[in-house]
Amino acid sequence: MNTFDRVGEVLRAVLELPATVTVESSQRLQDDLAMNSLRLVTVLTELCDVCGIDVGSFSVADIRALKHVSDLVALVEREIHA
Amino acid sequence: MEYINQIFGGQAHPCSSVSFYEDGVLNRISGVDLIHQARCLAGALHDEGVRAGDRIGILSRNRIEWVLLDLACLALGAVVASLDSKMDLREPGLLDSFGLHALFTDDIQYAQLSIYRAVDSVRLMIVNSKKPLETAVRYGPEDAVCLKFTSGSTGRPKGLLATVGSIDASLTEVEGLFHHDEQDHILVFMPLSLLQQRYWVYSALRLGHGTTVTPYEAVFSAMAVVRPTVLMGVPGFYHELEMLVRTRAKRYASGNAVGSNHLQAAMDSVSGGRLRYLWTGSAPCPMRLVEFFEALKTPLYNGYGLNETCIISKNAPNANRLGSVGRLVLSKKVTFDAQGQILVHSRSPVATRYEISSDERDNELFIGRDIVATGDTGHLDADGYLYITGRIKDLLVMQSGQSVQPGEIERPLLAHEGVDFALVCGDDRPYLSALIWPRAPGVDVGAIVASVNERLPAHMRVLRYAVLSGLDRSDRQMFTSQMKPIRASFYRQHAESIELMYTKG
Repeated sequence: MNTFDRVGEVLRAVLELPATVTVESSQRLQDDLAMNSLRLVTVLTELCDVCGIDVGSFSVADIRALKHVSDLVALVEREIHA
Repeated sequence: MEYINQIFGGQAHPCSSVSFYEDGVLNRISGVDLIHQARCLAGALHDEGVRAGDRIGILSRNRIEWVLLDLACLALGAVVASLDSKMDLREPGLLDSFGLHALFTDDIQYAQLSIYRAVDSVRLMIVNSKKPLETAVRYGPEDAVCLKFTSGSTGRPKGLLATVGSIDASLTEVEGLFHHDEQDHILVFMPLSLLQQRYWVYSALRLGHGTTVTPYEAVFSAMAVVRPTVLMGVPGFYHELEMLVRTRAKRYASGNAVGSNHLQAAMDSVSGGRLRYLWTGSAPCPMRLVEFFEALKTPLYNGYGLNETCIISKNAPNANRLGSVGRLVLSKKVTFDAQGQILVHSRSPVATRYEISSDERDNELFIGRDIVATGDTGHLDADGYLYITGRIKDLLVMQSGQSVQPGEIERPLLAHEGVDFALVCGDDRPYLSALIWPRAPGVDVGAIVASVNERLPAHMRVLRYAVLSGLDRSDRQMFTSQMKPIRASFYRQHAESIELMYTKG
């Protein structure tokens, strides 16, 4: 499973998205997926647990910079390849 | 018990410490070292001309410099003006009205201001400090140490000067209920601009329990590292914690039915497995959340308090009644006016007026020296537990003349796990409608509304609703610092959606 699929899977699980809703990399986390800043931290925490990444690896600035699904994918890939 | 005077009066706990967690790094600082650094900073501020009574603004994320500035001001007798990052300080005249001597901030958009100081400069000030402040100010109970802000009815923040007596009284009350000791560790992730978050630093220094301060972005990461015994958060945070625990438990169950063992394992994995209790109280907390954490043997204690009164009532171990906001603390008494409004009588009032306000009518809630009219309606049961039923000003009077407290409908809507937020409308309208923010796209809002309507009398049923997205709880135009919705702002922002619910066939 690639990182995008994993991100999609975690988003589906945490946000309880119905099967009819697709997750796309261009989607805006706040406006399209109704995620506030705390929800984003929740998703990131679960994503890290699934991927075996230490959520402490991400700085406050990293988290504040997340705007789109693609940013989330890029951030996780950065840590996987670190 | 005195807290503020004793921190600098040689009565700090000998083994106290405060920790700071950010970007994956935990720094623990002994109370002795923290107080010494604060004295050095107080000395440096004094050398720069800061004197007792001067106001020092702080606008920054949670970090050690915030705490050092706060403690240095306490030692010096300066007043900390704790600013919220969501305030728009560029609004003409606003910052001037605060009367600040300096503004320490990590927000460079204010770098052009003459009072601007980078929060980062605090470390250098400590290093270059010629002499630590030897004698800290000794406060009387009515002396003010903090200018704290609350949302104003006009949208401009109101500020009140909080007294030392009210801080000491609140901390004493909390200790009487929860008995924190050296085994306890409290994680502070809500903004330090909220005075009650700084209480945990003061009590750590005085009583010796652990406290870790972290920005909210690092809350779950810090939980795994620090393994706290106590969390203090708004109900919105506990929604997230529940969601995280449920998601993880589902994964642990590997496709099988999720059992209590999966939920407990998930909770322990997220929280570090040492939680003794959870604290909430700044906004109505759905019963569903209280029951969820109760089942995990981690009670979520609901309580009640306002910026103008500090803690009024609190559920606590051995005195916890679900649905209530707990029994009154010893230094508070409540009475009710003719409309059922809760009037709070304080032995150690937080303030007797707003120091900063754009509307003199704001001060009408202070009655005499020690009474605050809360604007909330409620009642006490026979055992002294307080229940909040709504807000006086929120009362909706429909065209039929029937009046409805919107909270009576919003509470069951919010109790549904598919609903993130809901606001009922209907003032001067023929029927009630609701603005509803589902927790995720695809939630069957119609079914939720129907199930809630089934349990309500006819005139309280929601006949139309609008499904909305993009709720931002950090928007101070829409939510107060206590996370209460500012209804007028919601009604204004969603006027078109509301109108459609009354005009569309």
